Amino acid sequence: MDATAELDDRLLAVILLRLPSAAALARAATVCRRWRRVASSPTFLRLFRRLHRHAPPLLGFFVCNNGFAVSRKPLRPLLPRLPPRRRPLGARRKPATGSSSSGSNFNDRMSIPRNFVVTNPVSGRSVLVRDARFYQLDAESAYLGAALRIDDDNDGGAGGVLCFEIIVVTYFMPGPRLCVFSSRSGAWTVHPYSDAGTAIMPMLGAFSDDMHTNGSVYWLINDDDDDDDDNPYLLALDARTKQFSNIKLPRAMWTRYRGNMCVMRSDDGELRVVAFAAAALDFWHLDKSRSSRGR
Amino acid sequence: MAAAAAEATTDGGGKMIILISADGKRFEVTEAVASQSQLISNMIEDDCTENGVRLPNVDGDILTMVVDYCNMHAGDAAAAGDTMKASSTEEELKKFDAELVQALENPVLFKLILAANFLNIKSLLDMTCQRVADMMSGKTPEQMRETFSIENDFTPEEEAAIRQENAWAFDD
Repeated sequence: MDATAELDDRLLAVILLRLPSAAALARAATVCRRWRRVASSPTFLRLFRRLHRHAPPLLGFFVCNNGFAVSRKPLRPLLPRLPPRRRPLGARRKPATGSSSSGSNFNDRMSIPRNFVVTNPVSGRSVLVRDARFYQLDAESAYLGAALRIDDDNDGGAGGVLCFEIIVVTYFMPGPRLCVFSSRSGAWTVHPYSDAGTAIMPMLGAFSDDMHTNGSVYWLINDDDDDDDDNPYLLALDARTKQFSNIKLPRAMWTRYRGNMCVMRSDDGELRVVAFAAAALDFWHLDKSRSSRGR
Repeated sequence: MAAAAAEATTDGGGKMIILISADGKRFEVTEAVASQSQLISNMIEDDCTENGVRLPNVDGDILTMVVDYCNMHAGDAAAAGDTMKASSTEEELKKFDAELVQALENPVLFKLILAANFLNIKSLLDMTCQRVADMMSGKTPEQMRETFSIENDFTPEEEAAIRQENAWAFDD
């Protein structure tokens, strides 16, 4: 017999509110009709968002490959297989018709997507944001990725309607730049260039895939141009404040690992740089003032 | 000042109340212990505990656990200054709670939730609900159904559609 049958809907909601993530909630909503009904009521969802406010507001991050959402390999092939990272995707780019899903990563970096679909996976409600016209950007801008963020800054009054932002990240000579779509205003805003990157655009191959954790997105920039002045660094974007910052990595990391590094998120949600050298994996974590070596 | 506080505790905690479970078991507890239940606390205020408090929704074995829990937690609620009686330190409490919650399995766990809800003991309700949430998290829908013996009442088509929609949630 259903062990939860004796609980009324309110108690069931009290329990579901305590689930740790939107992904756990979406799975619970797939268990049976009753759980789905309780988990998709607007009041419940508003409470859930409020209780999880300190969790990363960033719901997902995705890269498009000729119009298809690509599931990227978390590590370069030479690294051993690690547990798959969490990737709670809440948004997808609308598939373009007739294009193939193959293509090199560098070419993707040069094509900025224009159409986005944002889906609330629990209610199933979708919004199509099409023909984004933010392209007074320089034609040579590289596309670093796009993020979906739940806009919870002033909750209430919205009557349970989810407000969100799509954050498109590009990079050109002066540095990284954001184009932000807000579902509140229904319009795109192009932000000024940030000076957090290096003044010259690194080679496209120097950008790692993005990694998001704790409401920020990170890229490892690892520009191997034989110029000894360049250190690897992390480009960080705070999705809420929209500020970029630049976290320098020790020079020694570059000489030791020769680019065999990538950013990933550990099980506890913290940022790690995984590096490979001398047949061993090293995990680095950020220590407020400096990076320190773990394990 | 300390003496006054200690005296107040003795007065407040000294009076005994009888709790009577659905199956007629009787539990004698101090007012301080019993008033962790907001329901009973209100009854004490209204002076209607003279002839014992009947709890028709709560079985004896469940009430035993609730009373154990309240006895253990009476220290922090009642007298922070009473070092003699505050035998349960914070670590001991944590250990007690962890052991209690770990030991709980399906039918008993849900009965305890209902009792905590009926008696309105917030900390116990929080703890038991968290336990159920912990049992859910990290599981697939099938595993959750198995854990709680829930029947899948979606049609295969519906389930496929939901899965498609929520594909991202099965990724971690």
